[in-house]
Amino acid sequence: MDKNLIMKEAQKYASKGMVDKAIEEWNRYLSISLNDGVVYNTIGDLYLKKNARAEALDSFKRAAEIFVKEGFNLKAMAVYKKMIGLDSSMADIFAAIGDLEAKRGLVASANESFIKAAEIYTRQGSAASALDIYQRMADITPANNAVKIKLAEALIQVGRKDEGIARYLEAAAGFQHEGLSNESAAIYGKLSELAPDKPEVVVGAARGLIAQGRSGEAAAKLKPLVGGDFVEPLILLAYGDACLATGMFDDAAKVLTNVLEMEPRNLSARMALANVYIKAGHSDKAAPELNTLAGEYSLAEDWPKMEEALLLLVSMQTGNLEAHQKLHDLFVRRGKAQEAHQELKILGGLYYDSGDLRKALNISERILREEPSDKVAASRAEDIRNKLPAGAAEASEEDMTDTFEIVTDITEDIFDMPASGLQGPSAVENIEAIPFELETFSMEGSGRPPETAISATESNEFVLELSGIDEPFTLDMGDVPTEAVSLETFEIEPQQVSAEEAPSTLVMSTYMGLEDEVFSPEDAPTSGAIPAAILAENLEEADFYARQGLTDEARGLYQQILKLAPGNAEALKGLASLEGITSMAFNVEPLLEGISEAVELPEIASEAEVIELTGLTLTDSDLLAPQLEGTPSEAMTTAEKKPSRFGDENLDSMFNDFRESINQQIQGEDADTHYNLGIAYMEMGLFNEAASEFQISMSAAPFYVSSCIMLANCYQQMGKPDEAVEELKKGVRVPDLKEEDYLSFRYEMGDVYQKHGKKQEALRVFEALEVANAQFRDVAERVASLRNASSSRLEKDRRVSYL
Amino acid sequence: MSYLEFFNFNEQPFDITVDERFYFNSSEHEEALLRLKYAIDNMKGLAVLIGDIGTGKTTLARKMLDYLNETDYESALLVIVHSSITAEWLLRKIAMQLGVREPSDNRMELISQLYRRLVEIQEEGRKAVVLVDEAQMLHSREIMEEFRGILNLEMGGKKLITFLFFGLPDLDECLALDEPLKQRIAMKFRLKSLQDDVISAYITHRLHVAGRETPLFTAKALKAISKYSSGTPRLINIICDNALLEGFLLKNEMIDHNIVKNVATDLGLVAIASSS
Repeated sequence: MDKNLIMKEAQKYASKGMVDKAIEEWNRYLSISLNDGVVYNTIGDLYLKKNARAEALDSFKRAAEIFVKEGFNLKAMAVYKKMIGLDSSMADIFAAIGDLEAKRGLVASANESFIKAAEIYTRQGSAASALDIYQRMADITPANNAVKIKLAEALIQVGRKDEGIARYLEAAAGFQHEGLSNESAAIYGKLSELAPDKPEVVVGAARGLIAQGRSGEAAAKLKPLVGGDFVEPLILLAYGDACLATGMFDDAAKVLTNVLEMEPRNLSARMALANVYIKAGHSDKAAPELNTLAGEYSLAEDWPKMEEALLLLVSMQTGNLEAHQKLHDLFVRRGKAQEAHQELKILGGLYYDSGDLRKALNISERILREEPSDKVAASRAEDIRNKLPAGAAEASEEDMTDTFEIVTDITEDIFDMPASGLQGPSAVENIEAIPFELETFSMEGSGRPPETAISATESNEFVLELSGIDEPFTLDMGDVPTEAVSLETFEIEPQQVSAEEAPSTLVMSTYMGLEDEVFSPEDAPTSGAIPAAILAENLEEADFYARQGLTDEARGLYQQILKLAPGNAEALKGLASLEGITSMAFNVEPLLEGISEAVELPEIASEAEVIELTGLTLTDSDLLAPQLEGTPSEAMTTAEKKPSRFGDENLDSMFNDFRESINQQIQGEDADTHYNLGIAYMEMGLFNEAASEFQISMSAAPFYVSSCIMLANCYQQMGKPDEAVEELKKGVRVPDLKEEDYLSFRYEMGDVYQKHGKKQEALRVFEALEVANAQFRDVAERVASLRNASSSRLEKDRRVSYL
Repeated sequence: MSYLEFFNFNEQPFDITVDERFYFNSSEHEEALLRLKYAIDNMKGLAVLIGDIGTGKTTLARKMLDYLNETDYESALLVIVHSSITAEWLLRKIAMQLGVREPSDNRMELISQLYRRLVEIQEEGRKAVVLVDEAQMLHSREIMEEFRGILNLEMGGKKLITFLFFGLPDLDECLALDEPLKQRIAMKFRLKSLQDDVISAYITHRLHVAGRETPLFTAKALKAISKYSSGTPRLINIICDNALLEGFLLKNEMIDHNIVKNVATDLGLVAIASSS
């Protein structure tokens, strides 16, 4: 048998409307060429012509299966869509389309198809099939909480309750992580019905309450559960957090200590405990916890968490040399050069203050190599060189590498520090352990009394020590330069700053890396406080970075602000919001509270100035409260402030939201694939579907022009010449359209008119084209033919006579 | 929502006025056209196409006229709408349509003018063709004789004109009025009704031209249409058109056999189908 002959016969029969004969011929063809998807598709079309839908669907299915097998996924999708057009109740076909779309990376489209499949299965009562579909959706969008909810429902429906609960828990945690606490709470509400005694559910629900600012309720719900002999640490931890948020510090500390006795390496518990201590004003207890945490996170190589712990630590203990060294090394490790440089500056100051002039000189020189314009480092280096014996200074320069290694060695030691269960030396102890060499300097006749040898990067502990104050932590705001510090700076570089603005301007600008900035007199502080304008400006800049998604930049700036103004509420809130760490919500308040309770602001700083400094009233808790929206437990993270539509509404609305968002997502999908899919649909004669695809692909600039043409073709095929012309007009309006493209659009326009009998319009278009370029395609012939047709129509009318 | 919007049409699919875009090239019609073209191109003199009411004779006459371009043919279509026309009037009209300027009132002079014109056409390398639609209305021996007389005009043994008659089966009786003319029929074709599978394709074709991509009539409905229309295209159109209107009024997205039956009953086609 000759395939070509059979094909011709089949086509001949089809053209004459002899459908049965044509099908017969095509089936003969298939007996020779078994797996020809195109022929199966043609047979399907023929069956359709004789309205034999069942047979048509069978043929189309076979065609699609062959296309899939041969890797022609777009063709297969087109055939499946044709089938859906005939029968929209075929869930398996929707699922097959979804699979193919997923394979092409069209995740939103796949989800749309899967949802249709799942809904049909659900209507048909086929829960297992619906579950399978939701599982497929979860596979392609593993982070989608709405899908997890549906999957959970489906699992429970088929009796797999535990798995369903696990999925609900994942969804609740996911929403919580996204800051959608009300959505999370709604799921926990559902879980409370399904598994009221499950610790994860109890804890999740409680955490939801805490996140909503209902910590008291959370604590009340958890309290009865924490009294037994053996209580899940999970529950204890949640209770601890609830207590912390409600100000029940003793209870919180007790329960968290219990957790740590059971699980010494429970870092969440340890962090919570550190927060409790901070909030309760027991910074001496908080510091070792944070130190341990830093070590544990180091071991776990959880660098962001380690950074968090260290930042908290140095914000409390600005003079903690060891913590700063760790932080410096951590920044280096994380590639945060700017932050590492700032830490280096702090370390330089601390070494200088500690009397280790050789290291201080070494670091200053390193700073100067990184930043030659650093005036503080230059002054300090010069000062040290003057103080050190000539040989020692030279030795320092010669032994530069060794000196750097000292710093490195120290930090390496820190990273090697055993963490678990360690309560290493507190930050205060660390400071106390640093060899104090000021006396030596004096003895060596530097000519500078120890009490004035205080640099701009003054350690508060050092100031306190000099002042004979026993309680180092009461000056946590000590980074705000004191008059003494300012004077010292002024003494080092008197020519650089005016007497009025010298102290804090220089300090601030140095820390901010803004040495070259010239500050206006308004920016200059009127007291020893950090210039409010500068602070505000930097906060604003950090907020801007955060809003723009430049998290690293924002984080760096917040951290710098915190170094200068530890406990600054805005910076802490910004940082917490940035990190998206719920626990940070607890960190903001305690620090502020600790500050408000402990800091004795200089008398010369008016309350107004204090407000200006931090954006908050630090001396009056009543004034502090409104800034943080009430009680500490009500101090919400940014995410928690998001409006929510959920109260007791059921979970379906979350899925519906997701469903509604799909169409928008589809618009953003890969234009290339949608364009090719459109072509495949056109080949199958599915012009409606093709038009939809081209409408999507035209949203991508590279596909705009070609999509316009294809869309016009679709409309033309659909017998909608006006719409076709509209699309072509869109194409013509594209700026900088190439002449060839412009002529093509015009030509297509004329063609549309001509094919749809609008010969006068077609003639007008082609005549214009002929003027532009008579050689373009067959324009000249078209014009001639249309002119003839125009006259022959008149002729034809003349030829007809009624008698 | 309009009828057209409801069914996703761009235009009426079953309008009974002749529109070449809706022309469905069934094997029957294709064959008829081929035969008629053969008769013309070979100057066979007289060809006759007979078909029952609504079988597509007028459509074919128009299609044929489209085929006869001015370069190769001098053609005219005479549509007979009145049965009382005279042989003189017919001759005069034929002469005028073929381009005789200032036709004479004298019959013999007019025939002479016509002859000269036909020779002129032939010398131009073209062929003279006159199509007569509704030819069964020319129920007069004089008229038939007039046609025979014109057909006798020859030059060099070749006929100078071809007549194509389109008409109902009654046309046979008209032709029988002049036996010599009857004997001059070089080609005669009888249009048959459409077969079931062609009816389905015909309906699908018209729906497609009107903008509908998906089926609209159920299989049973198509069978019913076939039954009540007896395969006559015009009846198919009328039934379908009425069925669609009914479906629209009932808001039925698919037309089933019940709707078709109701419509056919209203149109008086059920009784006809039963009796046949």
